[in-house]
Amino acid sequence: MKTKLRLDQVAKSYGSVRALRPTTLDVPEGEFLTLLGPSGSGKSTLLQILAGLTACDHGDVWIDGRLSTDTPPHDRGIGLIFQNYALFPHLTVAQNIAFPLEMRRLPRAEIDRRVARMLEVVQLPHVGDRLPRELSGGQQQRVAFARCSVYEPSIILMDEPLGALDKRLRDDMQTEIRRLHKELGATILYVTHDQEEAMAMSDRICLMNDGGIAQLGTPSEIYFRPRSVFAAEFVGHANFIAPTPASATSKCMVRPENIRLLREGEKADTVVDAILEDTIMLGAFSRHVARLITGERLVAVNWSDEKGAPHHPGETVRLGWDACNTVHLAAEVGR
Amino acid sequence: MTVIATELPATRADRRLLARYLPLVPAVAFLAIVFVIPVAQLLFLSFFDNKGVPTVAHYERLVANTTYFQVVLNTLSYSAWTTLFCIVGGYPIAYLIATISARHRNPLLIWILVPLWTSFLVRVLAWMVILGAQGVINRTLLSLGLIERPLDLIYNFFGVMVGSVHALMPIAILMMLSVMLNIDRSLSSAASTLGARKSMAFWRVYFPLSLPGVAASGLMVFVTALGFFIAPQLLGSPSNIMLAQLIIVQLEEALNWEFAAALSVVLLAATILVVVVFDRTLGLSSLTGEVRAGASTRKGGLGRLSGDLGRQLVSGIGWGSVYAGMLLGKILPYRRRRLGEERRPFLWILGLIGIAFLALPTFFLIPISVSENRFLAWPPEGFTWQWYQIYFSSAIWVDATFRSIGVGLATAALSMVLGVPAAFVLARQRVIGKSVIISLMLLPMVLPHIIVAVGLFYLYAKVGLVGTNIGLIIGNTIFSLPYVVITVMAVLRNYDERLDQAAWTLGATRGVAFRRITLPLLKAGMVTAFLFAFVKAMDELAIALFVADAGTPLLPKQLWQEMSYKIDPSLAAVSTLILVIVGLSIAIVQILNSFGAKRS
Repeated sequence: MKTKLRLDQVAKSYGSVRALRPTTLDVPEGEFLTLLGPSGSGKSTLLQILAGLTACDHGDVWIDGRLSTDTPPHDRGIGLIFQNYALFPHLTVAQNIAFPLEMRRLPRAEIDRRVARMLEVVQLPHVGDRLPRELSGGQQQRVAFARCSVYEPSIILMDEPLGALDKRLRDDMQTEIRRLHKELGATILYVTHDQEEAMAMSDRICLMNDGGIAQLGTPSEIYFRPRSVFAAEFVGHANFIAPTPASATSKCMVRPENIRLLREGEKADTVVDAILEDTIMLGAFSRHVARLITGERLVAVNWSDEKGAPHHPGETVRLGWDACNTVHLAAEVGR
Repeated sequence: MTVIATELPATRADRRLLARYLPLVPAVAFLAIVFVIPVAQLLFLSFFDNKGVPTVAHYERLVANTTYFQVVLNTLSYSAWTTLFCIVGGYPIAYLIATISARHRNPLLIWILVPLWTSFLVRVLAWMVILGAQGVINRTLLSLGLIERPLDLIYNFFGVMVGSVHALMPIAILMMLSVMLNIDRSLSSAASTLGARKSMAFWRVYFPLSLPGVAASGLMVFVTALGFFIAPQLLGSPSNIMLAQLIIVQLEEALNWEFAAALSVVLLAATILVVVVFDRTLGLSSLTGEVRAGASTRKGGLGRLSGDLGRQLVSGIGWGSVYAGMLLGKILPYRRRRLGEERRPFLWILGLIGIAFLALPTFFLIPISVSENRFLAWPPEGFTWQWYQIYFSSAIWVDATFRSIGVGLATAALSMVLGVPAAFVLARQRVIGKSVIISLMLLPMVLPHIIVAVGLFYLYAKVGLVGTNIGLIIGNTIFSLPYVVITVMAVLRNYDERLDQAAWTLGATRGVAFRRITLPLLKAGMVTAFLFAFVKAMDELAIALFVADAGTPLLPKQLWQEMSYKIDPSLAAVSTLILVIVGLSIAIVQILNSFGAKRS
C-alpha cells in the first residue's frame, strides 16, 4: 500500500521541555490511525507538526511522497478538526463550510452545491443560515467535520474531536466518523486519550508515552501483546504476577478475563490461593478482587453465573490461568 | 397555618430581592442626585433668559450666527479625525500586543498604561516642549541643517491632532485589546488549515471578530473628543475653537450662563446621538467587554445587506493582500522561509513607532525641569534645582498638591465604597434593568466633563458647596466611579464563583468566605481600581475649574492656568513630580499583579 504520511525522526522541544522525542511513523493510504496516550505524551504536538501549525526542530515530514516539512498549513491540503471545533463565530454554518472552497476560488454555484450536499451528508440540511453558537455540541461537531471534509482532503487530522460530548452522543459520532471514513476513503489520524474510543475506531493504534511511540499495532496486538508495562496498564486492566526466580528481569501480565475463579477440581496451568476481597456484579460479567498471600491484588473478570454458589468477601478462593494467556514483559530500562 | 405557609416564602423572597438590589442603591442614588439632576437642570436652564423668563432666544442665536454653526462643525470634524487616527494608529499596536506571547505582553502593555495614567496636562506640556518653535523637533532639524526656519508644528490643527491622539489612543488600544484577547487563537489556525494564507486568515477571520472592539473604542474616542478642550486650547489656534472652549468662554468671559447652557445642550445632543446610534447598531455592552459577535448577521434587510457588503469588502481586501504578498515575494529576492519563522517586521516597526509616540514624549520634561534656560527650550542648558525650589517654596503650589492628593484619595475611597458593591451585583446577579444601570454608571465617562461640571456648579451654588472639599470629592467621584465599576466587573468576570461555594461547603460562613477567599483573590484588582480612581481624580480639570473657587487651588487647575499664561520650567518640575507619583502607582499595581499571578 502507498505511504500517505511519513514522519522521519521528527522531534520538538519547548525550551527545556521535550514535547516529542525523535519519532518515525509511516501511515498508509486510507488507514484510520489513532494516536493514543495520556495528556503530555506528545500526541497533540505530533498532530500540530503534521498540520503545519507547529514547526519541528528536527526531522522531516513527507506528505504524499513530497517533502513538506516547511510547507505552510494552507498549502498542505490537510483537514484538521480542532478539539473546540474552532468554528468561525461570525460566519453562518453555510459560510463556515464554504470557507475552504472560497479559499480555493471555486465558482459560486459549485460552492453552493457542495455546501448543500455536505450539509445533507452530516444530516443537518436546515441549519445553514444559523450561527455556530446556536447549535448543540454534537451539531457543531458535525459542522466542523463538514467544513473539514467539504474540500475532500485526502488526509484528515482529528484532535480529540469527541472530548466535549456526552457518552451517548460520543458513541453515535464514533459510528458516524467510521462511516464517513469509509465513504470518503480519506486517511485519518485521530488523537484521543480514551482507550475504548481508540479500540472501537482504529485500524491501527499508535500508543504514545513521554513524547515518543510506546507501541504501534492493531487494537488486538496492543491489547493482547503489549510490549511494555506502560502499554499493558494503559490499555485495559493488567494483573502483574511476581516473576519466577528463573526470569527475574521480566514481568508476567495476565488480563482479568483470563483469570478464572476455579471450582472444586477445576484445573489450570497456574493455580494460586487467594482471599476474596470484593465481588461486583456488572451484568454479563462479574469482577472479583482477590489478595494473594504475598499481598498482591489480582482482578478477575468472569461471566456472571446465577446458578453457581455465591461468593462472599473473606472466603478463600483458588485462582487459575493458562500459560498461553501469560504475557512476558521485559523490565523497563532507563525509566 | 395556610396563611403562614403562603406568607413565609413571600417575605423571604422579598428579603432576598432587597438584599440583591440594596448594594446598587447608594451608587444609583448618588448618580441620580449629583449627575442626572444637575445635567437635566442645565438643559432646562437653556430655555430661560437671565431674568427667568422662558425663551428660545439662545437657540435662535445659535442658529442665526454661522460662527456657532462653524464651531459645531469644527468640533465634529476634529472628533472624527481624532477617532480615525486613534483607530488606525492604535489597531496595529493592539494587534501586536494581542498576538505576541503572554510573556512579552506585559512589558509592552506598561508603555500603553504609562501615558494612560499620566495627566493630560502633563502630556500636553510635553508636546509643547517637543513641537514648539524652540522645541525638540525644530531645534534638531535646524541643527542638522534640514530646515532654515522653525516649522509651525504647534498652535494649529497639527498640534491639536498630535495632542489629542496622544491623549486618547491608549484608551482606544486597551478597548480593542480587550476584544482581541478574547478571540480564540485556534480560529486563525483553523483558517490556515482550511487553505487561507496568513493575510487572508487575518482579513476574513481575525479582523471581523475584532470589529466590535474597534467600534467601541471609536465611540469612546469620538465622544471624549467632542468634549475635549485641553488640547485644542493649549496646542490649537485661537481662531479655530471647539464647542467646549466656547462654553468656557461664555461662562468665564461673557458670563452668559444661559447661552452656555444652550451650547452644552448642543454638545450633549451630539454626544447622545452618537451613543444612541452606537447602541442601536452594536450595543453598549461592548464597552464593558461583553461583545455580541456577529450580531449584524442575524438582522434582516439593511443589516444583512450591509453585512454582506462588508464581507465582500473584507474578502476583496483579503485577496488583494494575498496577491500583493505573492507579487512582493516575486520581486524581493526569494528565500524559502522555514515554517514557524514568523518575524512580522512591518507590524513590529509600526507597533514600536506607535508605542514610542505614546510613551516617550513625557520623558523630555525631565531634562527640561533641571535646565537653566527660563523658556521651555531644547536642548536643556546647565543644571539647576531652582525650578523645584520655586515649586516647593510656593505656598499655592504646595497647597494645591496636598489638596489634590487629599481630594484624590478621598474620591478613590468614595468611588470604591459606592462602586464595588454595585459592581458585585452587576457582575453576578440577575437584576431587572441591568443594562440601564450599567449605562447610567458608564455615562459620566462618555459625557463631556465640562457639561457635568457646569451642571454641578449650578447645583452647588444653591447649596453652598462651591469651593469646598466635599464638593470636589463628590464631583470627582462622578468620573472615577465608572472606572471602579468597570475594573471590578472585569476582575469579577475572571473570578471563579465556585471557589466561594467550595468555601461555604467546607464550613465557612459567608463573611468568613468573603474575607478569607474572595478578598485575597480580588485584592490586586481592587488596588488597581482604587489607584485608577485616584489618578483620574488627580487629573480632573473640568471639576477643578468650575467647582473650586479662587481660594481652593488644585493641581490640574494650577497647571492649566500657568500653562495658559506663562510657561516656564517650573511647570516641567511639577510635571516630573506628577510623573513620579504615577510611576509609583503603576509599580505598585505591577508588583501586586505579579504577586497575584504567582499565587494563582
